[in-house]
Amino acid sequence: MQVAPRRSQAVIKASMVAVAASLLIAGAASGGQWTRTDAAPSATKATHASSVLRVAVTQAPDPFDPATLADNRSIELAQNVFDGLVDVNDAMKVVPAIAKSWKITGGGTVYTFNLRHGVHFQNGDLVTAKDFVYSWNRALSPKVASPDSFFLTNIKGADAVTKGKATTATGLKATGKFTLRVTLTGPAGYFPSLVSRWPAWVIDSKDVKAHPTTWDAPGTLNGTGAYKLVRAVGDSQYIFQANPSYFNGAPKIREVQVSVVPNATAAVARYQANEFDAVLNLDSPSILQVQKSSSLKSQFHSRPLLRTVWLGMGYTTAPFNNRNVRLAFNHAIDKAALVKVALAGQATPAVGWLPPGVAGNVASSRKDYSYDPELGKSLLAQAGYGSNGKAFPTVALTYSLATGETEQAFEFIQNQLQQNLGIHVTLKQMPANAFNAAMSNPKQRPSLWGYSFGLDYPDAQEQTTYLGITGAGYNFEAYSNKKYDALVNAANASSNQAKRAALYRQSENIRLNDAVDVPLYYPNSTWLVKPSVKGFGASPLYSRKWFGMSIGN
Amino acid sequence: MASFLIKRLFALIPVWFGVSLIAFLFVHFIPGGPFDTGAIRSQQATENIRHFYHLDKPLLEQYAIYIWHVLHGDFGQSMVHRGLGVSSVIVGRFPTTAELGLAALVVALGVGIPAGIFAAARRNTVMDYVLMLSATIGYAIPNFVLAIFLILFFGLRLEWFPLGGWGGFSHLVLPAVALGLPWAGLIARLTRASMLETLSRDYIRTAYAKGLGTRGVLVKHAFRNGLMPLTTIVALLAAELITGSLIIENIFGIPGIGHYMVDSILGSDYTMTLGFIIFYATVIFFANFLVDIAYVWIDPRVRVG
Repeated sequence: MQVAPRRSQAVIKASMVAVAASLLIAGAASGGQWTRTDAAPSATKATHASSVLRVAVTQAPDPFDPATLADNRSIELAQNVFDGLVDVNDAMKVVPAIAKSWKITGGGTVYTFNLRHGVHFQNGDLVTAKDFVYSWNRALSPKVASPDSFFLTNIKGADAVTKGKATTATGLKATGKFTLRVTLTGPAGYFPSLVSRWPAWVIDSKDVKAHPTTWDAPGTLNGTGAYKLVRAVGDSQYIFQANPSYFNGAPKIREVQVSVVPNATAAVARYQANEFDAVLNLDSPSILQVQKSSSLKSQFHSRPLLRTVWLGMGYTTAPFNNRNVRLAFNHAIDKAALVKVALAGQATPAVGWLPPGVAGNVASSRKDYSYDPELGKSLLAQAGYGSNGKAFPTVALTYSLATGETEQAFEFIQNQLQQNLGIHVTLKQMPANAFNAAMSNPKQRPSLWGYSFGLDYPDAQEQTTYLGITGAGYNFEAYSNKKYDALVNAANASSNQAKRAALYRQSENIRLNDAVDVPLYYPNSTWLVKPSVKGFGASPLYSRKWFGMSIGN
Repeated sequence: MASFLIKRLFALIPVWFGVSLIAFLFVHFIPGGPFDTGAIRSQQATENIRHFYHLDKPLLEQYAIYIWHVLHGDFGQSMVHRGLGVSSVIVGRFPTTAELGLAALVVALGVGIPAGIFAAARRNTVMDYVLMLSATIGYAIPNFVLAIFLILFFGLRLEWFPLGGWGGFSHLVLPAVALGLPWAGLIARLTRASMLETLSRDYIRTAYAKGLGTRGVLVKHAFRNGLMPLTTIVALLAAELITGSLIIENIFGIPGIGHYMVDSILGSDYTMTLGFIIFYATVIFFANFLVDIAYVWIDPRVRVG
């Protein structure tokens, strides 16, 4: 049915009005709502108060209760709000914090910490040794169910607390207002490193007892740190303000605005538009984008993390129970090319199993297995595989995308094994939780896998004891070497840090001589920062605390 | 009409419980639990955490405890992000996703319906072909491609709109267009088809014969009768849009619910995943119920007892 032309003019007009109207209505209806005062202000452009630092992160932090913090991105921010007895510096050495000094007696089992006398919480309460006793007992208690109670279970009586059989650990005593005496179950040279970390940070016992459910909310969150969390806009922006009575001095930067921008590429675009002064933890696409721009390239930084990515192999199951096979794999992978091609250069080829930066690593002192495909082939032949021997069984290289692991890296390795050894491995990527569950179950554990491990505290004890020694809970290779065990146990017990480092180095050499795994690379942490921000950077653990930074011109 | 609707409402209740039970059992059978993060942890700590979340109780007892809390409005605490209440995530983030979804719906309908009506009114002319071609192209373009184009052109180049973030009308335009415009294409095609079908009916010819003008015919008779298929689509579309587009939220940095949904599934976060499933089931039930009301209002013949 034809419509008369003149009448359709009205229809056109009506349609256009409808479109315009609907958009306007949408705007008006919503506009009123968005003048609410807690609406997230997109960070002001260009000229801003020079003492405000605007940082973009890609993940919202969890609520800041030190006892239950679990992920690095939350810890990275929370470290500005809380302190412990001790801290670690960029060189991963333990340095005094709230404790100005400590004595080790009793053959390494008794630590006496002398606290500074004038440290205050952000609400004004004085910090005493009792607060540490309270905080640590709380972190051990089953009611709080901290995932990291093992940081404190070296303390005598702590085990009973975690089992719910006691409320305080007998080895934890405030012997004076500012003196804390800790008795351990046995000598542990890594204890200071443990208590530098978040499960041992101090919280205000008076405050927490009075406000058990609200003490850690933004605005009332109460720590001893250089910055106070004053406000959170939903979970997309966190405003921190300087604590002028911080025990190490007043911070130079007055305010830090942390914005959560899940898409790193978008964060970089807004950084370019001057909405942010720094962007933390870029991903591969955004790194490639940054490296293409000459202006951004000079503002991009990276440094190795205390983390190793390696190729794990079943030490006691065929075909990897044969050392020649493991050696063949070690010679068959070009790690330099792997880093350059598959990781855009954002990693360091690995030599040792322990990452550089932690005392006891051999990353700079040991010569790595050479990249030598011919040697690899001959080793494989010696093991009975290859063109003159039996066929190498088909193995599935299983991995998940944990920190530092990428599909490209494992595709590269698959390629290398095919090319250099004639071995075809299939790739099997699993979601992280399914992967970890499979690894923990000996029946489901693959014989070849990719693994990423980062140290929670800067001491080789963690990696060697939980992943390395015979029967260790995370020793998925099922590696067992009595000499290795003896060295690690001796290193753990000693309080002489130089001696410990030497012992760990020896243990590393034994493990690497046994070619237990193929250490692949140490991934980097990455960040972008404007030249006007001084002191920005990262330790091997996290990005640096804001306390030492300033914004110059 | 009222009894029909009340009957429909009551029928939803056992379905809601059924969905919650199935979802509950389902999340518990995903391989890998919320605590299989690979992080070092003592055996005792794992036991303590499992006890904290009632995971050491029999499955059905856990369900009973859970549903009891849900009926009191408490969706529990996230198992991966300790201290984060699931309700607070939903309450905090869903309004943003819903706002974006509604704005996208407005774009989709506001552009699509007039375009469809216009194309139907100008059937087989150049305008008709141009509109329908645009509609097809628009529908075929993935929304994130459109989003990136909009950011590059209107954001970076012309600087008319911010590049991302949330908080004012200017932040809403680009994402709403990116999300809604592809659907406008579908709506336009559907509207056109529905209008054409309606316009070919006898009663339309009668209306013209009685002397009613084009506008009157279109608005008073054709459009309302052509609404039925459109209503079904709009209901599904509304549910789709309100549950959000993770990609659009990610690209524009919009603090919506999509990110947490994906995060919770990948992390096997039972309470968070369950919270979302039950919340969305409730939203979709409600949307379908509204559609039922709309059907009855549009076409009185639909009032099946």
